[in-house]
Amino acid sequence: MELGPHILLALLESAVSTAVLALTAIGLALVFGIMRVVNVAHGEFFMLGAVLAWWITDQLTAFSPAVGFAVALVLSPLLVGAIAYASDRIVINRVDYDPERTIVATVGLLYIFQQISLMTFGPDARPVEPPFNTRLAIPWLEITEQGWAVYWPWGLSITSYKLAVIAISIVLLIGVWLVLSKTRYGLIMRATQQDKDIAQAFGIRIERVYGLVFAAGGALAAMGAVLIVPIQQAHYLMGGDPLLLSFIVVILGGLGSLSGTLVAAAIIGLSNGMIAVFFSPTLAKILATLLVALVLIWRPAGLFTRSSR
Amino acid sequence: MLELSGIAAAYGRVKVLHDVSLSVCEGEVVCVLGRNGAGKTSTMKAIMGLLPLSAGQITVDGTRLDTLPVDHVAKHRVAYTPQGRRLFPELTVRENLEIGLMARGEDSRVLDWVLELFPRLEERMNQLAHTLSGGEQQMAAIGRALCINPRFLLLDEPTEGLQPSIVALIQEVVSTLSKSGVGVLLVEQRIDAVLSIADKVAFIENGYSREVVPAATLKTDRSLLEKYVGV
Ligand SMILES: Nc1ncnc2c1ncn2[C@@H]1O[C@H](COP(=O)(O)OP(=O)(O)OP(=O)(O)O)[C@@H](O)[C@H]1O
Ligand SMILES: [Mg+2]
Repeated sequence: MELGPHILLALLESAVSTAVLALTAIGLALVFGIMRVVNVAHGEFFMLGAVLAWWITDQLTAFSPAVGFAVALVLSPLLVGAIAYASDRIVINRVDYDPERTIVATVGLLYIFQQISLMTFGPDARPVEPPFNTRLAIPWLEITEQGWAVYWPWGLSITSYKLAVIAISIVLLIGVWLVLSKTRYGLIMRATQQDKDIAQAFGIRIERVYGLVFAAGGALAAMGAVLIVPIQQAHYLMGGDPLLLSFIVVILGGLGSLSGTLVAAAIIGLSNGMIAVFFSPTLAKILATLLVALVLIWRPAGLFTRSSR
Repeated sequence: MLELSGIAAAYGRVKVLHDVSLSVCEGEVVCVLGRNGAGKTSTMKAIMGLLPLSAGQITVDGTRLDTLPVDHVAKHRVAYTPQGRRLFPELTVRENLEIGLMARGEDSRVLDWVLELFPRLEERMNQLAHTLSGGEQQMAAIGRALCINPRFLLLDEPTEGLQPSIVALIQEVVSTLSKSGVGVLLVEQRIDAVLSIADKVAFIENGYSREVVPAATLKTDRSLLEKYVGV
């Protein structure tokens, strides 16, 4: 393949993982921004989402893959949201949302979820069949003696499912934005984020807000995971990468800033994918981690936050 | 009646309120005077439940407030305008006021009433709170508290750093409120302002409440002012 089509292909493939990363990182950013909790177990909510998606589709093999997948896309995030809600009530709330103790507590949750997953579903990587998977060829332009001509480079294609992942993620992200900016719940969350004491003085039950935010954060990670399992298999140790990348994105984006998180997800997701294709995945990760280190030194408030604050 | 009897409270191990008692009746303006660090703001935080008591009690018409969760205080129609305003900075004026309305499920009639008291807010509704001028911020902060349609309003240094015309507007609003039956607990450094709008003055010193006197007596006898505030 020539360089142009090759770059386009790499960009499209990276866009798929970027979309999933954006969903996962937004979940982490919400939890950090509103609750000030650094959730080290966030990647395990991703893992649980993926493993539950496999389990749900496995129960529904009598139906078409599309039905099983659709059920998983709704049910798995709901289940993970419930697990996250319970984690908040049983663990995070009990340590009073103290920044340091919650880190230790969520490290504990990380191992608990991993081991439960291992003991319940086993150590094998589990595939999920995509609901649809048509390969779509993509045209390219080249200059010939007669001028511009369209042609179909061999190997330049993407599956319909991958395009759907991008589209569904965008719809979900727009949904998150609408809830936060246009609804009563969103207003309550933003007020709690900005001044929790005054929010309480105005009757806001912040612990209830925290429970719901933690549930939503887990559910968002699970949604990303359900979308990715038809492409990558579900496995009890799969939570590490999404956790690392989400942290990188949230730090670059400016802790708790949602628009910053989205831009950072785009930068990290796309560059990570491109470097992985053209060089190596390890180099991609090294560079991303290095970038975070530099940002923490030079712009600890994030790449995009106004320097006055 | 809003009543504090013998309250004590601490930030961690640092005890700041030792024994504070005072009361505000409906329609009454009670001003708390004391030096910097005397515990005026802490007293207000204690009423709102933001500073837990180690002794004493706080009641509204006989109902204990101090044993309730923080978020229940607003339901008893006690509203708070904190020192330094503390608007939600990244919310618009409208959204800040909505938070107030939501606290007790008040409707747009209350909002209309608030905008009548502070017409300037009407033009600023869609502006982010942190971009408002100081005077506008104070109006929005008082407006937000009034949106819960309070029976008791706690105002912590509402005129701090504001120009005379806005100070006058706030004083006017306070007297309007008290005429309509709202009890106001006011912390205020401007002695002249205190003497013109307060019914009672409660002195506080190092976390202990001292004399409570009618404001009128201070106009002729300034010895208490000298003793507790140094003016
Ligand atoms: N968050 C806090 N942690 C520890 N100590 C505090 C805290 N807030 C206030 N204090 C201390 O409590 C005491 C009373 O403070 P408070 O703010 O109630 O005083 P104040 O009368 O409102 O003073 P000012 O006139 O300066 O507003 C002070 O000694 C102060 O240093
Ligand atoms: Mg004060």
